[in-house]
Amino acid sequence: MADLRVAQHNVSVIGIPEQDGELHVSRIYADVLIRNSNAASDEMTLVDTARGVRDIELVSSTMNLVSVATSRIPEQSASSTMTLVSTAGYWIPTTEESVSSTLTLTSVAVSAQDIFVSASDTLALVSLGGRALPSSAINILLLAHLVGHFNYVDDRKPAGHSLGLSQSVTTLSSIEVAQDLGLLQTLDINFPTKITIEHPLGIVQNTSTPYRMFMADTLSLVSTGRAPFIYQSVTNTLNIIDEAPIGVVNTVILFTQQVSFGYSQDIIHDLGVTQNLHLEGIWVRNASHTNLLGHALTWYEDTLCGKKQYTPFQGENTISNATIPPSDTLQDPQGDTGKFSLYQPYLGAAIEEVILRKPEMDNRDRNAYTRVSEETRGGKLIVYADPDWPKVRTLAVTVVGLTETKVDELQTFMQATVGEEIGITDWEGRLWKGFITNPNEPATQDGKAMWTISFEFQGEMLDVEQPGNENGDGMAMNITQEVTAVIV
Amino acid sequence: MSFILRGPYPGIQTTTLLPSPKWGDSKALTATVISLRSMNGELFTHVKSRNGRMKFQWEFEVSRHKALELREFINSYQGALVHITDHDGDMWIGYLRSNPFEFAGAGKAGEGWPGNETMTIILEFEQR
Repeated sequence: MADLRVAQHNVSVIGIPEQDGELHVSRIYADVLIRNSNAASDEMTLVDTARGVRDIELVSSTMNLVSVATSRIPEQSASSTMTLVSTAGYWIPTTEESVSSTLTLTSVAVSAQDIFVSASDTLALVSLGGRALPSSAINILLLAHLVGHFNYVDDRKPAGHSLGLSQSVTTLSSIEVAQDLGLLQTLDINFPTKITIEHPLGIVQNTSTPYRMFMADTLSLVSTGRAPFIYQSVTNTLNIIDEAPIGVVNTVILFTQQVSFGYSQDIIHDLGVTQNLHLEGIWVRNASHTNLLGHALTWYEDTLCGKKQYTPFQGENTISNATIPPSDTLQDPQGDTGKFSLYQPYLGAAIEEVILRKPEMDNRDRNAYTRVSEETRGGKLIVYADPDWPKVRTLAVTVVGLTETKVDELQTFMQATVGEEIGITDWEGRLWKGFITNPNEPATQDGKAMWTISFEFQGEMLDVEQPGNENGDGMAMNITQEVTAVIV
Repeated sequence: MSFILRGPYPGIQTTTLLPSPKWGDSKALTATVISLRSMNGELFTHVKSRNGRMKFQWEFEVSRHKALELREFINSYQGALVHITDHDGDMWIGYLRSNPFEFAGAGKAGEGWPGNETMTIILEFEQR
């Protein structure tokens, strides 16, 4: 059976010009019915042109293109393509003008079976710029809402711009919904000229009204998945990668995810910050570490012997610049306690020497230190002492029961060595070098042939044997203590 | 009750035990008051409260060897903070303020007494 083709053309003039040549209005209506064919197409061009000298001109074109394809075959295709051109030109002053284009694209595809169907709307705005300098090609999709009417109740009404990209698919199989707002700028140039490519996604709200305003800019990336299953996965991934061949690369990002659901939940923050730094050259880098962390440990045994014996309980201290702890072994041990003598020189064989009986038990061992004491405004006490600062040690002794001859012998010795370094072997056998600080101290007679004399000796202890010993040649003397010893 | 000296504070490494001090130990405030009187008899006081700081004095009679140990302790920590647990169990942190530190022979001791002598030492201590 041959194809059936029906065509109808109807052209009518619906306007009556007041004068010939001033107004041309025409309408063309075309309907093409096609049956039992694989293709149906309508192609029509409407051109309304109004030219006149009157104040008000109204030119409008309204066109509906409807392509409907209904068939029992499984594949169908319906498309509408339309071009709207509205042009208004004035060559005399006018007070009112109106140029508008209304474009409605509706595509409907319905199928009675569970087969693949598609519905799409494509709105292409294309502007082309030729070789003129400067050239420009701009596409602007402007959504503007303006609200007027102020100063009466309910005068403040929201004005908003909404650009919604929505895709919805309902099916029993897997779901995949994607929204792609692609901002792409491409600039190709053949010369070494500074190239700038930017994607500004600006959300700006401005106001000058005196009323109270609430302004907020929100860039929300929301992915929502609903499925009749227990486990759901919602992921937002925002990758920000800065790459620079030289200079500073900085990436700052705040990332928040919140999940509210009654079943098992997982919140994953995947913050990928990648910085690549490519350098050419030799860079000397030093890694330094200052040991700021140390520890200290002490211990003790509270026993009776611990209160009598030389038992400093030494722990451990790794703190930098820590004070040198006391020695673990007994210091200044007793040596030969046979005699108490004063002699000169303090090393080698004595030229002058006085031997006395041992002093009384009230001998003094004075240890004076050089310290700095300060007090803060808040009343806090601060004391500091450097280990190298002088320490003065003084021995003060009193010898009783001397004969007058022994007293004379001692005073003669002090007169001969006044202000000079002498040596002392004390009652514990320790050797000192120093000088007598009070040679004018009087000797008193307590009884018949009983004289008492006191003196102070300021000096330091020597780590050598007594002069005259086989080890005491004086050639290997070591001074182990920076201590000044003084005698009385 | 032992009298415990520890130093240096806060990184305590060394502990020295002493017997309890002799009677006569003392403790006092460090605050001072200076009174001034104007020509018309009005009284003014100039006060240094020193934040309630305390100072102490203890006298010990120890063995000769313990005196040597104490001397070594003083020699090391005379410029550092020390921690003291006194014979009452009270703990104090401050400085040994005696200068000079004077060890005095106190008497002869019998065999077995370390050093065969006893010595006395007066420690003055002030809170930081």
